[in-house]
Amino acid sequence: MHPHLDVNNQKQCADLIRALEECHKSFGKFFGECNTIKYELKACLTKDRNDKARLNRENARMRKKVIEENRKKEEIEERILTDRILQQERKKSHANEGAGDNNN
Amino acid sequence: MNSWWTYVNRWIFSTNAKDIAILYLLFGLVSGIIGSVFSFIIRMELSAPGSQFLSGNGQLYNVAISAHGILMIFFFIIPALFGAFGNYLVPLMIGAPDVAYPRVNNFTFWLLPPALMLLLISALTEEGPGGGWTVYPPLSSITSHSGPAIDLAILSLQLTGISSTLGSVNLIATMINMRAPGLSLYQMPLFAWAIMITSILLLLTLPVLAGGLFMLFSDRNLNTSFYAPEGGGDPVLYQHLFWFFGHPEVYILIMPAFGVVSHIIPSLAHKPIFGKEGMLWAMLSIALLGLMVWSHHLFTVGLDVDTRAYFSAATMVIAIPTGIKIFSWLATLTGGAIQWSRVPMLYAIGFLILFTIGGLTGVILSNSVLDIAFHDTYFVVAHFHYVLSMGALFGLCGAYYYWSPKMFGLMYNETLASIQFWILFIGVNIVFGPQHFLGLNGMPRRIPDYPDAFVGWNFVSSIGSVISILSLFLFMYVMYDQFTSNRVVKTNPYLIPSYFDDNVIFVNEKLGVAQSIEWLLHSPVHEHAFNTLPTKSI
Repeated sequence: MHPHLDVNNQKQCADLIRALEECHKSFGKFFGECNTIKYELKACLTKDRNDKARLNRENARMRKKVIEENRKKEEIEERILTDRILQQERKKSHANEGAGDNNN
Repeated sequence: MNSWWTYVNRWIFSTNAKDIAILYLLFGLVSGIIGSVFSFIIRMELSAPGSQFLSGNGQLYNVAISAHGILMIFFFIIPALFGAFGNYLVPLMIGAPDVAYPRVNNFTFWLLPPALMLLLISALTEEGPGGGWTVYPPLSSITSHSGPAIDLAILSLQLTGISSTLGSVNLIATMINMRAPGLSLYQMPLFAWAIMITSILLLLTLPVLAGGLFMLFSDRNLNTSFYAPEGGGDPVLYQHLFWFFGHPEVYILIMPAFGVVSHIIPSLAHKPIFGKEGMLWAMLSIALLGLMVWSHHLFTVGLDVDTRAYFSAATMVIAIPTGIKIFSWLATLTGGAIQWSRVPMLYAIGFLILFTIGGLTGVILSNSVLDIAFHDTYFVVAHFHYVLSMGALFGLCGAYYYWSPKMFGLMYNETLASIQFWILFIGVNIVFGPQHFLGLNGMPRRIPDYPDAFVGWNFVSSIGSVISILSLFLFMYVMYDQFTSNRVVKTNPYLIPSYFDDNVIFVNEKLGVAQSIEWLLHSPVHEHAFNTLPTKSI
């Protein structure tokens, strides 16, 4: 069993896929003539899948890292914003308290 | 004529049904051994979690699974139980000199060795066929199995199909046209009827399998798209076509075993069979119902609820005629002067107990609501092995031990054969009993690995496999001993006058055993069995 063979999708195995297709045109395929190519292709497809999986993992890690950084930035920005709002509110309340004392 | 040519003339060009039957038996034995080796490989791989012997090669495991299934069904049980015993016994039981078409009979057998070669070659081309015995697309289509392995497996199955079809035509024609004078169809012995019904089932269902497989072959090689959704096809169509054959196939495998048990029990209980007509109509009902329940193998493909309700109900109905058979065998045993310790009787009793268990789990699985949960789990594997490994195989072993003294004129060592029975009985129960628990806990079929939670019962199951293989070796020794020890059979070995045997019908019927005339003939039966055709007196 193997995945759907596609020279565009499994670029590093494209030559072997073409070789296997060519080999399958011969009658010798019934007597194991294409066995070697198939085993090589299977190894290549496994490697291709593992490479893609590794690449996906790396990409996922990168994306996760970027997301984490963005989240941290957002957290910092949010904290700064919150601090500012709190400071403004504090100032307002101080100002109100000052105005009340003056009125008294 | 030199001896070499005599040998070739007798065994290669044989038109004698009895010689062809021996060839079927040998062929079945070889295929059965190869199939057992594959089952052993499967069980050893599953003896512990992770990769054990197959280097983590899932495709190799799938090839072993496919080879085991195809070999056991098409190359072991059918040739041995239907081909060998059908060919040997049917002409004798109905008083015919041979089958209707002796040359076709020769051709029918000789289609099988090339079919086996094609199957074995298929395992050696590229990565082998890993589609299971069901060969479902898209797994078996060109996109997943691009090599010639599946094509060779399809051609192999087509050859076995042609062989079985021709064999069926031959045996039906024999039973319709060549019965002894005075013997009506209705009076034929139950084994002959079992072979008749099996032949009818094969004849009705094999063309559908052949069509389904040809469409798969065509999808793979001629760019058609019967089963390819991207071209307007539907893979579920294949499942319908396959199981229209596949379900009756279960009855094709078990029906001759029914016939065998229906001869062993009356013979060794010293009583005529209870309700012969009921037994016959039960077999016919099972065959008819068996043709109308195929979709219970497809409950999970998205059938609508009404369809599932019908197929659940129809499947459950099969339990009724099966129950009639079980109770008739028990009624035959009741009050009989039973020779419990005779080997064929051990197998018949083993068959009764274990086939009933397999039938009960079958009723559970017939319920579509439960089947949704159990589909593709080891519960299904356990169920069909109780029906086949213990039903059909026990029937086959029982038939061998019952009729081999007649076929070869040599008796086996009964003590060794009894030991062999008990080892097999214990072995197969240890293999398949625990698989019910694994299945109920959700362990899937056809996967070479499993979570640690399933370790215990898998280990026990693999121990059972080792025990079963030991019984296979012992069986081979029993055969070797039978053919080399010169225990010549002069009279019917089962006709032992019993002190308690006061059954008038048994005493009056000079045949003594069963309801058939093969035991009146010489052992081994002469090449030309009947010098004059027998005539039924009543």
